[in-house]
Amino acid sequence: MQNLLSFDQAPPISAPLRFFLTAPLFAMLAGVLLLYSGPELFASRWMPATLALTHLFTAGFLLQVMLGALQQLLPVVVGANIAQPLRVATWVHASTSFGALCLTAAFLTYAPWLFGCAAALLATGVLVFLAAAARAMRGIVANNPTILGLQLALLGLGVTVLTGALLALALGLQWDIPLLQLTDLHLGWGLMAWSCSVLAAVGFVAVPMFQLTPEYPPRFARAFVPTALGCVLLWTASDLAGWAAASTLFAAATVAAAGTYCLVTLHLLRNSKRAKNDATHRFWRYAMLSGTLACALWLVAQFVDGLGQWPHWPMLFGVLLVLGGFASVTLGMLYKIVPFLVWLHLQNQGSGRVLAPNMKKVLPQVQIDRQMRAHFVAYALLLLSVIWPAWCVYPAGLALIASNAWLLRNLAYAMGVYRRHGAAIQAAASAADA
Amino acid sequence: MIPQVVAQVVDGHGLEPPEPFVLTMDALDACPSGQAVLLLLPREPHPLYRALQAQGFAYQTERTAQGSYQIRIWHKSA
Repeated sequence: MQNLLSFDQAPPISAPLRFFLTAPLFAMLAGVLLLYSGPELFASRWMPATLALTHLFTAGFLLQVMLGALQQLLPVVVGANIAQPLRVATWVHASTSFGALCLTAAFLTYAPWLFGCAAALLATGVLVFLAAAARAMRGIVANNPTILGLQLALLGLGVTVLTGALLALALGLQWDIPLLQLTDLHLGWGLMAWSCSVLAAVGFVAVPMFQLTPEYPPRFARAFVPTALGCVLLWTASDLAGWAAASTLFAAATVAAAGTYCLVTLHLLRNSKRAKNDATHRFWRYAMLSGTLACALWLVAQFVDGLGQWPHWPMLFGVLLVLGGFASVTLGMLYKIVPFLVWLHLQNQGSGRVLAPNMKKVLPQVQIDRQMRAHFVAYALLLLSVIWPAWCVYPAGLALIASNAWLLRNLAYAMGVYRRHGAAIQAAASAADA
Repeated sequence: MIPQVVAQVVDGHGLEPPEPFVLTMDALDACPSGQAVLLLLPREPHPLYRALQAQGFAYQTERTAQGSYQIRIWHKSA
């Protein structure tokens, strides 16, 4: 069999993998923070340690996986090749990973210079990536929901990072701006216009392709991301204008749109043609269930006083959406992307003389299953920590460290397969030349 | 000239990547000169296009009314 990708156009494997290998380190740091801060971390979403924990997941774990995955998905799904991919990856990875570390340290110390560094590094890293992606997509017609969805999601990422940088600078330099209002908008853009949109845009391809489900209904796929982004825009405008009722209505429409995506995806997953559901199928299914619950919780809390006044519902919403929803989906995607990347690059290197290993041997299913169980144990313990922090926060911290150490081990195993087979290919080529 | 005779049809519907790519490349290895391989897929295979260009194959893509893709592939020297 012949090569599948020419090397001059395929991004080097180290470009996306550096992001994937860094992501679990942020989640392990989140586990350490849980152990260090203890039960008080769940007292309020505004506690410094709680903000640090949230950003270890969002600006750390999730951003790293999503940026790494986009490096690979833009050429494969959209046909957009990032110019100088290794150089872009180096700058973006260094800038965003140090930026997320600075942001965590800034929340824990409230040192103004750390907020400044975090804003500069995260904004620079993300803007470099956005510029590279925009250049790669120049001239590509958005003729399917994934391309349009990715373009709009990247716009959402830009607004999320710029509002985040503004908030960080305002906190560091004591600027007099409406911090609470801006924080809620930053959250809306980050969770919906960026994270949910990019997940949906990728899901329109990845769910039918990897989970062997029917295609998303075409009208739904075409309308979802533009509608979601439109709702976020209207929510932002009405909130800034001080129209409280309209703001609540558009925020509710945004959340309802996200819930609809989760329900449609659950319906498709139920109709999968897979003979046996693997771990990636379960990651997707539990993520969509968590997303649905999170959206339902948010909507009920807005309109039912009893729940709305319970101080812990925002924390429960955050754990359901971020760890149960986004983190589970990204794990499901990682376990498809990484074995495929290793196989693809080995296939290219082998040039038909040395066959690449079967993808199932790049990362054995049993190892993925074990890590999946550890992830869901950590998730369940974190959910329980919201209600019984004194009892559950320490086991949750330990479980989070363990599940992400396991993820790192699995990724390192795949890299080991890549290196060993790469060496075998080199040896075969040398023997053929001799 | 586009070969009209199809040596092999590869139906990629319901197959998980990279199976359609592997089957297509294997079919091209066995494809006689002057004939084509027809690949059926639910979406455009961008990585495959690049591999085909790099290895001297020509292709023609048609989008069907149902939204799926038919890619006819043949060797340029044919």
